[in-house]
Amino acid sequence: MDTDLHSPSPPPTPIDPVVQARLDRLAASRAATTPSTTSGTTSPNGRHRKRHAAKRSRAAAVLMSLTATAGLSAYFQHTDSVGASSTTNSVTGVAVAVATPPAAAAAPNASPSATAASTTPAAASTNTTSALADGTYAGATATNKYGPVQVQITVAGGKITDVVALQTPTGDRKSISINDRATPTLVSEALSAQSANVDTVSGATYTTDSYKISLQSAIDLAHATTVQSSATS
Amino acid sequence: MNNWLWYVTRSTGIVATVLMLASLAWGFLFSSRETGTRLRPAWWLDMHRGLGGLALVFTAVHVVAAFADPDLGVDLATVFVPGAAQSQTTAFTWGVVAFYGLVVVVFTSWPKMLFRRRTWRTVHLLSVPATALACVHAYQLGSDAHTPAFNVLMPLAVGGAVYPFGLRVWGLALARSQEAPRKT
Ligand code: HEM
Repeated sequence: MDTDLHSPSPPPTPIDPVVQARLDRLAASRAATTPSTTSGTTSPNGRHRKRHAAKRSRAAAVLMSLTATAGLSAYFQHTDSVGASSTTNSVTGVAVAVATPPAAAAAPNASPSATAASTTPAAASTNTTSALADGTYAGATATNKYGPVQVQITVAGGKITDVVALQTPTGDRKSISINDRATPTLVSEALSAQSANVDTVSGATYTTDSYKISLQSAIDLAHATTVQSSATS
Repeated sequence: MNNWLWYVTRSTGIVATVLMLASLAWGFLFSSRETGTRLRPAWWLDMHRGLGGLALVFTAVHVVAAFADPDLGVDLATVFVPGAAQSQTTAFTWGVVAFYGLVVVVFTSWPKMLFRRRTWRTVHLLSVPATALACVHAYQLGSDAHTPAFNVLMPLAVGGAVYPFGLRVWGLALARSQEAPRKT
């Protein structure tokens, strides 16, 4: 038998296009269900489960939250800077003698003139406490952009023996915290200086300015009370 | 004076509270099956989780910014120990407790299968008092708590969470009454 071993093998029969399409579809769906560490998991029954069913909505929530934070911060800054334009102190009310010894109390209506109240600390008279009438004096209320400040002094033996802040701004957390820190410093400075010549507490410029005004008005009143009571005696 | 940390403290506090309320609303709508047909239940559950996690992130930024602002008087003890704040102690305490509540709820949401269903559900429902405390904290401590916008928008946001909560409670009550043995 003569066989030709070198004759070429017949060409492979082409795959039925219907079967080929099926195979392609199968391969595609396999690729889609292959577990990926970031986008999904495969449950035990082999079905692909998306880890974040609300991926887009979650991204939108993140974006909205960031935008709201930025917008609110900008709004707060805006309202703060609008308030900052009114930096001067306004003084309301007058210093009053809360308690004075009989001689001083006899001086009729000693208080009002004492508050010819200066509206800035620079303009405040810097009387030292020479000749202060004993008693307790509440200073005028000095209001800055954060709120009112009012100081009360107690004079005994012609010296300031106690200083109390009757009012400090309480409108926001920042003011409360700043005043918690600044007030003890201002009190001890006033006691040692025996005047309203106190140093500005760093970070508490507004409070210090208002404090000086109110303190000075109380000292002026104590001074005026001395003058008037010595005039009447 | 640079106040940007203060502004961030305030804005992230507000955003975190709204996110907590939204997460509650999504959770109760999901559990009471009042989610409609347009969106799949998986979407609602995923959003609920996402909003809760986001609330935690914004609360963390809120606390860090408050701590970093030297003028707010927030030290480490104030952040971590309820009742340790030097001033406005109660208001801070509510914030700290709410923060712990939120941390527990979010971090037990992921390994849910480690708990018995009942235990997990009890822990998860801590989110309700935690959110309520966060709102009280905001009202007592917030610089903006007395502004008209805050007093209109906050109650609206709270209402948005209370309504689905009501639906859920109502649904449970109905189910209970139907389960109860009928008198013949
Ligand atoms: C360790 C826990 C927390 C600390 C130390 C803390 C600290 C503060 C501080 C200092 C303020 C006052 C800011 C200002 O208005 O001047 C504040 C306000 C606020 N906090 Fe918190 N907080 C805590 C937890 C939370 C939590 C868990 C939430 C809610 C998710 C929250 C939401 C708010 C809101 C909405 C405000 C009001 C903001 C405004 O008035 O503009 N806080 N917090």
